[in-house]
Amino acid sequence: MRAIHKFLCLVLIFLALFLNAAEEAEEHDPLPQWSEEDAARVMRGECLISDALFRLQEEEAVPPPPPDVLELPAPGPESLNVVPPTEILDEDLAKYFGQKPKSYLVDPQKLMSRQEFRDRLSFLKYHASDSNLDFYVYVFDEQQTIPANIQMDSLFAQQFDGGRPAVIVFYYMGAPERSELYLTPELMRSVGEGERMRALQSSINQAVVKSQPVDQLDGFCVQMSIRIYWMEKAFISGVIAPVMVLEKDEINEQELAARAATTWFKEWQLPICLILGVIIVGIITGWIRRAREKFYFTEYEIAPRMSGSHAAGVGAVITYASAKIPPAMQREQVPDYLRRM
Amino acid sequence: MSTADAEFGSGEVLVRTLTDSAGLMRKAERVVVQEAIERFSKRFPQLFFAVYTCVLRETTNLREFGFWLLNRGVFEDFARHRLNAAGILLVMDVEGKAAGITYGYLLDLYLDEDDTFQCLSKAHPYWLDRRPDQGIVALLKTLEKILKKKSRATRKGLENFERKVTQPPQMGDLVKRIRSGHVHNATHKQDAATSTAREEECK
Repeated sequence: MRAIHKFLCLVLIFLALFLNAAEEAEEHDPLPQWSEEDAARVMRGECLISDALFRLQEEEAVPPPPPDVLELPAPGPESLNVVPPTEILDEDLAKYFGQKPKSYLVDPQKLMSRQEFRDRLSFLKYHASDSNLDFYVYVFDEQQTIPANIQMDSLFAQQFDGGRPAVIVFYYMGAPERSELYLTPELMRSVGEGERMRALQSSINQAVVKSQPVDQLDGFCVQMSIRIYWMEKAFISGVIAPVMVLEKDEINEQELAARAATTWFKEWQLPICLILGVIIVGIITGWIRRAREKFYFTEYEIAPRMSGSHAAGVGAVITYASAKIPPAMQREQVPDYLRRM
Repeated sequence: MSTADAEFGSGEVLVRTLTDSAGLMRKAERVVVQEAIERFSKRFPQLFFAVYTCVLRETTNLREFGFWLLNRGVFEDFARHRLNAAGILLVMDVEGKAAGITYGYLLDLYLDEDDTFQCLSKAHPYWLDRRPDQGIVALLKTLEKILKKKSRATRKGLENFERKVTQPPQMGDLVKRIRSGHVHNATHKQDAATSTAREEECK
């Protein structure tokens, strides 16, 4: 037993030494060798031993290849037309506003990747299938501005006329606080401005807590979808006024008139209230005065008639014996018709 | 007046502004009428309104009785400070189902037969329906309206009541009017004669 144990120990030691030698042979470079010339120079003291040993290795080492130079394309005429970040190309504007959008997510500038676009579009489609109010999102870049000559209200009134009521949002990627909310005419007349502002603000609040622009858009859309649900509930329950078909110009004129009336009333609120108060007090005072008014007659000297000391004014006489003889038939007063014979 | 005195008596008669001698109204109804009478008196401080219900004989004239009662009656709740000349008396003959109004000299210029007829007409449907109190209240409301209008007209001078009490025109004026009327009629007659003559010529 002891012999076997000694034998195994020897085998293992040999195996370990063999493996160690093999590793060293693989990892390390071959040892430098002295040339006769180098040995003579070292002996003369013209160079150091280390320099002489490693010079050979430096000479043998391959110099690294030069770094690749990135060849930029020659600047052509197209690269000179740099679009400012605030502008939108005319062709894109035409895609945005040229016609009623075919998709609930409008991104002709390809600001989102295809996968991001698909995900958001599927959410908007789901919303449309679950709601009576459509939800359109127009995506713009962070600093882009829409030309002021486009009248959104009239444009959407024209494009969405006769269709389902819709909520349209202009969303600026990375700047949710710039978002704009538009409603189709029937909703515009129904949902108050305060409610619209609250819906937009709450959606913005949900968006700004996210860091990534796409996530911000997600948060915005989810919150706006919730607010649209409440708009729809009110619309169906009849809280909102019935829809009236009005011309575009008429809508603008009515809005302008309403704003002018509101402004005018705010300016003249105090005088109007004062005048109304004075009128009401005057009416009440007049009513009380009339209720307590006393009436007098001028007394004239009248000669007595028929030797009556106080009265001779004999008025009318009427009979109420039968309903068949109404007062109209008794208009002609006969002095002695009441004398019963 | 002497005829009336002969029929009804020449002495004074003590009555109240609401004398229901015929027993036409219940107590509650009398209260309603009394309140209406007081309201009228407050509104017209010079005047008073009186109601007298009775059963007259068949031969009695209602107008004559009203005339006599307003001259001979002493209205104990008003007579001290208001003369009968400022009174308006409603007499209701319960048996004959008739009612008439008589008024004093003060109101001679302000009331006439049409006004009193209008007041009685308002009360007529209630009396037919045997609601005498409501009839009297309706009558008083109409009377108040008429008198208010007349009083305002007096105050504003819209109607010249004084003209009604002026002396009758002198004899000379009457003669002038008659003459002018004769001339007018004469011209009319002349025109008629000429037209008939022309018609005959045409034939």
